[in-house]
Amino acid sequence: MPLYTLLDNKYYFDKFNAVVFAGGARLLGRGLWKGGDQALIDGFMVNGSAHVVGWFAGLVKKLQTGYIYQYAFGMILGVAAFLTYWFNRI
Amino acid sequence: MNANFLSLAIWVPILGAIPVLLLGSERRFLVRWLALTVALAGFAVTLPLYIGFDTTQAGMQFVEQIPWVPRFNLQYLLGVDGISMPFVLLNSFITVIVVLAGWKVIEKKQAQYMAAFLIMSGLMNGIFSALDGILFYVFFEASLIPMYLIIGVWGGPKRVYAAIKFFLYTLLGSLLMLVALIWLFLASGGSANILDWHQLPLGMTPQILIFIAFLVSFAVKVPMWPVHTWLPDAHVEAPTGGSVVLAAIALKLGAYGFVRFSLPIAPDASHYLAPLMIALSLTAVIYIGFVALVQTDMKKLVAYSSISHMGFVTLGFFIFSPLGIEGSLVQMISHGFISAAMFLCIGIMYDRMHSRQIADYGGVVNTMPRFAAFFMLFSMANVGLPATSGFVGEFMVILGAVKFNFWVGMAAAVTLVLGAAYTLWMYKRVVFGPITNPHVADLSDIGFREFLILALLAVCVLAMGLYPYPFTEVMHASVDNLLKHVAASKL
Repeated sequence: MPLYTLLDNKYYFDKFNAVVFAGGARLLGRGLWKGGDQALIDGFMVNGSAHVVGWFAGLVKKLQTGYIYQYAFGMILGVAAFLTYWFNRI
Repeated sequence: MNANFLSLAIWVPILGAIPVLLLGSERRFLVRWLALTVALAGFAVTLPLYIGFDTTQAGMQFVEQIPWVPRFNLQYLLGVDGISMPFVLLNSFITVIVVLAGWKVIEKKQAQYMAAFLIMSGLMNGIFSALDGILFYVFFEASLIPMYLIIGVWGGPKRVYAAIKFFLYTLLGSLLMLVALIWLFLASGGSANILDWHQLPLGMTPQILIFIAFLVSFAVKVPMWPVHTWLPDAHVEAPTGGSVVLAAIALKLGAYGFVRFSLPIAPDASHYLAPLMIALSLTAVIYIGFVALVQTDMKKLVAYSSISHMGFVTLGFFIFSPLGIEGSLVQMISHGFISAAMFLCIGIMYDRMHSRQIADYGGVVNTMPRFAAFFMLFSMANVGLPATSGFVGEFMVILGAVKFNFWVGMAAAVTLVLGAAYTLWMYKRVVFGPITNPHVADLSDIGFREFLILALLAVCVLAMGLYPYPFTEVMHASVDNLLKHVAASKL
């Protein structure tokens, strides 16, 4: 009887194909789509680069306070740094 | 010969769009018929290009030369060779199809819709026939605007996101191309003539930089992996006509750019970087094939299938054999017909069901038998079955690839298996099986207009599949000339 079942199911070749090849291909496809296209390319590279620009803009935005004394202080720091370099040059 | 057919091919649709716009969207009847007349006239003026084409000559034909900006030696310089001429015809033909496809479906702003497609058609003809680098760039960039509007105005729910993504991607790429064009203009001592650039001797470093600048621009347009992700989004959101033009014509611009610019201007860099290009092409063919397999949205599936087929085209270019390049060009034209037909088929179903999800269908053959027959033919063509146009190009490229390197050819041939898997599996789930969705039971079969559109494309697909000689004949001399040019080092 087991022989009959084996033969009746064509040595389970159809099932093997459906699970291993077709299922494997779909699994691979889903992995490449979700992991490759959506996560890596669109998520990390395309939207990620846009996020980095946005994040950096948010960072430098904080420097632009509009207070004249902060800008003046920045200039004083710059002059101090320049003079330090100038007098210590070889 | 001197009837300025190329200028007519460019300006008849563009100028014809103006009265279409002036009629306004209220007069729908007049708008449609005028748009169709303009599209037909636009196609008619391209026919002499094929009839009067001298197939023994490799150089440019139908050349028109008028000073454009004399101060910078820029010229309104047009001409076609065996590589570009078929695309002018294809583009003008597809425009007629698109006008017919938007006949009843487009309800809002129909005049603007038709005008956008007519203008785009003229601009695309300009891209294929421009021989002045800057003129090419102007047409290349200008063609983004109508497409941006078509996706952004007549598109689906996420149309604005898709339109901006499309625009930014392509613009970013073409800015590098502009840098390359300006560099070439200066390096050639102030000539913007593309044919002069072909003869320009260049060192290896400039060649590689030029090649990469063009590559970024054209790779986005083709699109090549990994800069392809704008395409599925754009296709899904675009109206049917937009998808048709995008797949049939816009994708070909990138591939055309490789043969018009990259290969002849930087032949040594092309050879040097060919392994990279082959690797990217094969990645597109195989990786995208698997991704297409698991799509649940029909338009996305066909969009991914287009990327995979275009991977074939770029592969054919970079194996540097007559079979490869001619096969790629045949594949481009054939893909123009097939992808247009596939998107039209999906559009016909979408018009009735307002869904593109494969899961919403099943058993369509019971209610739309005539449609199912056409859809079957185009699905088979998409797979690349012999006697359809899809077979000819793929066969030539695979043959060329096997001669180049057995394993490259082997990897390329995987597409035949994957293509069959994703296309026929979709066809089975949509068309066959029991009717599970009650809306499918109420579907009506295609009418006369839809039948006409699909029949025209079916004739093209079969004619090209059974007798490709008229297509390869016109390319032959130009492709040989290109290969001779690319084989000679510029160093």
